[in-house]
Amino acid sequence: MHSFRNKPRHDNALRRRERPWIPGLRALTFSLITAMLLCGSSRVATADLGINVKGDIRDLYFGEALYHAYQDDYFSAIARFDTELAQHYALDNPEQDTLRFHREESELLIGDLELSYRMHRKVGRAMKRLLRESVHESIRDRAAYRLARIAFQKGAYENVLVTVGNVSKNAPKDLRQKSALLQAQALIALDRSEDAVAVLKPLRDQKAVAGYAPFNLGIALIESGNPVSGIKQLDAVGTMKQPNREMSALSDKANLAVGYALLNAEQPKRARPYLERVRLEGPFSNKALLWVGWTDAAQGRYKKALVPWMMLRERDVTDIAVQEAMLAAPYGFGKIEAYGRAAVLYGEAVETFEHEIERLDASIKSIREGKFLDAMLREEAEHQDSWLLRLRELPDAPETRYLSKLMASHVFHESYKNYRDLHFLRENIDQWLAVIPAYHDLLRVRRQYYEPLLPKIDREFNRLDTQLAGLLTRREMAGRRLNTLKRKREPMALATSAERQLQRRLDGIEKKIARLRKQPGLPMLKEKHERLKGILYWQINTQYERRLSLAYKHLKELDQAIVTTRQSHRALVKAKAEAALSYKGYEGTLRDMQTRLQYLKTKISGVIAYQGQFMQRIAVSQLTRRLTRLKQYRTKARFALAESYDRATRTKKGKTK
Amino acid sequence: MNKTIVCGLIVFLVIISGAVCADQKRAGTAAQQKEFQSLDEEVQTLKEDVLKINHELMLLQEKLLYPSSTQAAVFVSIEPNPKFSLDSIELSLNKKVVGKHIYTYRELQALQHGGVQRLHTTNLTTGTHQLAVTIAGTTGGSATFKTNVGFSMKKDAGPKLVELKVVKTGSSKPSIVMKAWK
Repeated sequence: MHSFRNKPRHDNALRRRERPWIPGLRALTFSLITAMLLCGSSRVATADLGINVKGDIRDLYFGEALYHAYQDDYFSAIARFDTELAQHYALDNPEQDTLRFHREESELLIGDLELSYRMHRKVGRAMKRLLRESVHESIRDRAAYRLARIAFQKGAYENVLVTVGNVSKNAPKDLRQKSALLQAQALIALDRSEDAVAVLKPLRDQKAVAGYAPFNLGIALIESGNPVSGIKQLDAVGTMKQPNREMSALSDKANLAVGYALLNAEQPKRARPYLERVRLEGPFSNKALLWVGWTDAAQGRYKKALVPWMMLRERDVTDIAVQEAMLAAPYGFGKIEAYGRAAVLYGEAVETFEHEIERLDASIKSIREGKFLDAMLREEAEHQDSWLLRLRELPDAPETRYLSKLMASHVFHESYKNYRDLHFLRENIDQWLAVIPAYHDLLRVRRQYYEPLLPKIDREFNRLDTQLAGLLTRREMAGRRLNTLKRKREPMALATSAERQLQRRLDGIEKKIARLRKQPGLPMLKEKHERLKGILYWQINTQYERRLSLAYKHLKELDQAIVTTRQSHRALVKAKAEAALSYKGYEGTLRDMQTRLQYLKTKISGVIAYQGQFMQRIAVSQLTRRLTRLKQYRTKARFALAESYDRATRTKKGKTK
Repeated sequence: MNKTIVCGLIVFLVIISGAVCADQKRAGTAAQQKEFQSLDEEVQTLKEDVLKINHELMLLQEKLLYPSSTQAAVFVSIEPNPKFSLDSIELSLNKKVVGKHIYTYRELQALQHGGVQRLHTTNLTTGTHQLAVTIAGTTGGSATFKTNVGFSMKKDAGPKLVELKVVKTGSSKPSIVMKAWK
């Protein structure tokens, strides 16, 4: 009568004799494999997405993108990597850009980040491109591994096997081991467990795949018809050291799997220790407690079975195992003929189920009213790494009461993440849309400021430009002249203006002297003139080399001044152009952006509505299933309650007689 | 006898309803999975589109707000040191406070792993400018420290990128070194 949904089919199993426990175990392993594959893939992802860039940062913008990546701020990090890579590729000479030191690393990192941001399609394209390009072998290995992971997540297991084959033998040990684990997981999924065993055996003691390799090996061994060795492997996982929460959960899962399998295989006594190993506070504790009770019940030790069941009754009643314990416990009391106590507990069960049915009804109603979607966006559930813990902190409102239970479904959980991401995307669009009018204002102010100034600046600039051109011409002439003087000595060319004036005066005097008739004093005058001429000649000639060298020095100084002037000239040209560019040509682009943003916003809003409706449907459908089950339990409990009363009454009458 | 028949009937009905539910659930799940995949692909496309427009807008914003001839940006990095924890940083430019930041645990972890934080971006004229940095934090557990360091920064015609690196020193408190990037 009490054939509860999660109860192992013990009574049927008792009647089976051929390969007594394999069929049950096989059914179990399918569900286990599904759970494990999901778990395994996330394990692989977690291990790999611990971004660790070795070596110095040689590009600040790369470092900035990393800063966001290390904070799991995927969107900002991807946007920055995208921007930097696009700018790098747009350069005429990217080999001079500092990002060249991190280009391949950036391509891989962006892939990892996009994978974390659940953009599998884009990552797949990028990794395929990397595999085609002639990149370093280490990059190809990592790209191949990522591509294999994407294929695995998509369920394209044959592709996993092909892609993993691209990981070279020279790849780092960790990467090879993780790839092999992925390959084995794909083989198990393809029902090629014997091949998986061969792949997993060398991995079982490797640190990089600790826990997961032996767990998978256990499953593969059981699947390939070697249950004894399989259980031995799972037993090793169940008793391994548990350095973190992840390994503890894996260990619990292994113990639960073996316990369930043995219980189903009519070996309740052997099953019990495995189930007992499951932590009392872990995510699998409720199931373990329920099944520990069933191992005792299967051995007819109902009193002992009551201990875990009664403990379980006190736990969160939204959990299915707890609900089943509400029926299992009075069933146990009935078996030890404590019909009165059984009747009381069945009565409590009916009451609890009725209360829970009311709450489920309220939750379904609240979800249909849309309150549920608002709750999904609460801040408590914002942090990705602790969302489950935070969901438990949500107030006990009808719309949030079953949220953490719904999250157990992969589709719902992923939809929830997408829903939040979509809201983030819309907020991002809204932020840009709010900024664009400010940019239009900025451009208007700049135009108002520069437009009247620029013509004046242009005129002044043109005047200075002409002057500079004249200066350059004169410098060229001076340079040529000096070069001539260097080749052909011409002292007068370097005479000072005073000397030239003196020379002119002496020439004039000479002409006057020549015109004088002979008279006393004339020879002395001529002699005096000649002497003065000689002194001047001497002075100009003896100073010539010094003056030439000085002229060259001045020319050099002039060249330096011209270089500085040219720099200022270039800066001025650039500033002038930038002043004009600071407000010209943006309006059209901004308008175009605004249109695109508006379009995207509309599109996102549409998908948000659809996504929300989809989640509501899943939630309602799951809660309706719960409701149906609870109603069945209530019916069972009511009948059992009546039966227990009958029996209790009969027993009482019997005792009275 | 009648009671047994009723009970049997109930069990039968429950089983039947369970079986029907299971079949419906399977069919529902497959359809749900398909719908989920289609929606997920749509979300992925939107993510690509929004990232693309963000990338374009970021470039446009930089060009608009910080032209290359006047752009100056100050970045912060940390030399990994488990004994030291940075609480806050304050940046002054030409004796005017332009940036303050109080670090969260995640930000600090990101810096310790080699991430580089962009603390401040501005427009500067060519010439020499004065930077002053104050950092505060803890060393060796609960001991607190505060360090002030000043630097001169020469701004040329192109963009100026400056990295302020918090480094270990011989003493108990860290110091800051400045590196100008081309």
